[in-house]
Amino acid sequence: MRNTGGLLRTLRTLRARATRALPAPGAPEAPRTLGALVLAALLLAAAPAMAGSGPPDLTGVWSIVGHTSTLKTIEGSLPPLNAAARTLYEQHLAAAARGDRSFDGVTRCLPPGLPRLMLMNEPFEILQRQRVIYFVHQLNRLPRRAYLGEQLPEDPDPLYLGFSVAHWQGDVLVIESSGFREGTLLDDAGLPHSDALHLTERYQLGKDGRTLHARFKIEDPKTYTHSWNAQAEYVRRPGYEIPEEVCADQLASKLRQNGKD
Amino acid sequence: MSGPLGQRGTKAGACLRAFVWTLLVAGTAVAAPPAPKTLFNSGDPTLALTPPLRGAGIAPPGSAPPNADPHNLEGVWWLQGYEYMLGPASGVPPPLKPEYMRILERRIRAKNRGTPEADASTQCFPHGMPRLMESPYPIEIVQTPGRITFLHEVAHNIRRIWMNRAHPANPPLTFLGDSVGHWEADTLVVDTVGLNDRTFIDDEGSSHSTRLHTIERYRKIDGGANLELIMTVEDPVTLEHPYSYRRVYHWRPDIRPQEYVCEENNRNAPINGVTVAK
Amino acid sequence: MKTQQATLASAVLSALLAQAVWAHHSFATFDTAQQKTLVGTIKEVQWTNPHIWVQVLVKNDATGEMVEWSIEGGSPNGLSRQGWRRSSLKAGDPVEIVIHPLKNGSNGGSLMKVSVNGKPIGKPPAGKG
Repeated sequence: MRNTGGLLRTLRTLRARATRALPAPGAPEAPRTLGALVLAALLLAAAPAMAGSGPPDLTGVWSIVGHTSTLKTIEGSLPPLNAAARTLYEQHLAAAARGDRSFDGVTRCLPPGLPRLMLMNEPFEILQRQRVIYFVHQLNRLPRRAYLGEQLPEDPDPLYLGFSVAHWQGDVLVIESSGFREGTLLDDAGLPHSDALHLTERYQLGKDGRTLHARFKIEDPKTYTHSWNAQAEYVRRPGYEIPEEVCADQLASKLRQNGKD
Repeated sequence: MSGPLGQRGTKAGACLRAFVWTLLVAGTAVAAPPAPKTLFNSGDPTLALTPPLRGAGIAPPGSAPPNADPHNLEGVWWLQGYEYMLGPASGVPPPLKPEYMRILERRIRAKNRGTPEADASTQCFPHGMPRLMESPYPIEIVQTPGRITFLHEVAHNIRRIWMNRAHPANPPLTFLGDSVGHWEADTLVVDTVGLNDRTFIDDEGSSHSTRLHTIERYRKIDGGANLELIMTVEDPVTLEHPYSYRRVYHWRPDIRPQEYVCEENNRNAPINGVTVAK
Repeated sequence: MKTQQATLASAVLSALLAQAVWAHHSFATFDTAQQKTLVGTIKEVQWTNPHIWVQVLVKNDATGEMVEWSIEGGSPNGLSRQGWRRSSLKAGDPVEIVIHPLKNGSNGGSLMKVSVNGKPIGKPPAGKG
């Protein structure tokens, strides 16, 4: 059902997208913007043939609200680890209590894996384009690409951040990921996962345009007795410019400080 | 048109111009063929340069055609060739001041002895500038309002080019510096300062200081099939004068940057300042 | 004609493979003027960045004992674009490996080409230039 608000929103989105597709040059900008407006008007005229009012623009810097080291399900409980996974998890907890975080590759500058990278206490930037959604993280400059409209690979060589494909369900960005290497964790505390992990992320912009609601569905039959959901919230950080973070340099400094070299 | 000696119209001026032109033409004719003799083509084997590589090829037949829009640089680009030394031309060193030329020679000799001096890349640090743009791995350019982003496959390096603004007064010194850009007609001009001195200009080990300043000029050529870069390098501490060199990147829509986690098994990490292969 | 093509193909393959072993700064430790062929068994493959490493057990002809060689290859990123996969080489595979040996003479080298049971691993990348 189309309404005035929806039409206006469409026009704004189309205009923004049209101008965004043509990055600001120097002098010729005015004719380009005019061209974009004409394009937007033509597309708007064709609006009844289009379904929905166009996806929102998630481009910008975001940081997590209420970072936690211990990932819980949406219901507030410990995720449903199977017996072997529970043993491993408890080993991680015990090691951490002793001050031994060698089970955690992040301490050696390895990527945190997913969804943990989305749950770290460091900002990230979304660059939203038509065929790819880029996530670029402050944490060691790690990038992640979600390819719009594609299928996950059948038999990939597994990666720390796996492979991600995305599509829009109305206003919700849905990302499916698989092909994860073993050895990363789901949270700082040490929740394990296997190479069977299949992650579904859903991102929805809040009505104020400044918050991002996220829902994570974890399916990993080798580790958890059934699939479960977690959630997170992010807030925009307008004006925040992600600084260069080089983990290997930070690690080397730390080792020097500890007297080892 | 009035040239450097240029006052039009006087007879003396005309004579002088003719004299200078004659010298220039004669000089050009004489200097044309062999490259000027440098320490590096002197035949000293301890100063042997690593020969350049062929680099990436063009996109395979049937690939998506490039877009001709000169202001849309988005896509994956892959360097043609690879030079270990980034002077004004292949085999020609940067115009380093004498004390820094001695350091370059020292580094080349160490390399040829099999004990190369430690550099940023073998410690999983960013390669610095201009060296990062001499990457044998794909580079993806993404454009969003007010920003152009270079996503490098190699060790997931990233450069953020802030469009149409000035550098901050005292930028913190980082491995890849502070980059600002603007368009001059169809050329993207990127200006970078704020580089720390923990990297080298190039793989062979040419030195730079924290006063390094690079200017990149990017222009699509060949209907968008290639991206031309004119890199200008300036460093009043280590270089006698600024210099420029040209590179070409191929449009490669068939390539996707892949994960590259340098830290996962770096057996080249230097020991006592020497790069190893353990 | 076939032999010519095969020779040309293998020359191209070698040239491209040599380039895939892109001379990282660390490759100065290898003697690129020398080549050596090792015949042995894969002990371990480290399919990692910045370089893959292949640990090979080679029989020392003089002493008869098995000696471990550490062979450094290119990045998985480049190799996978030439048809390699993480599983292309596995522990236990009988291999013939051609390397540039370490300048310091210890048991190591840079990977030039490798075959398992006579079959070469990898193929030239698409896109000539």
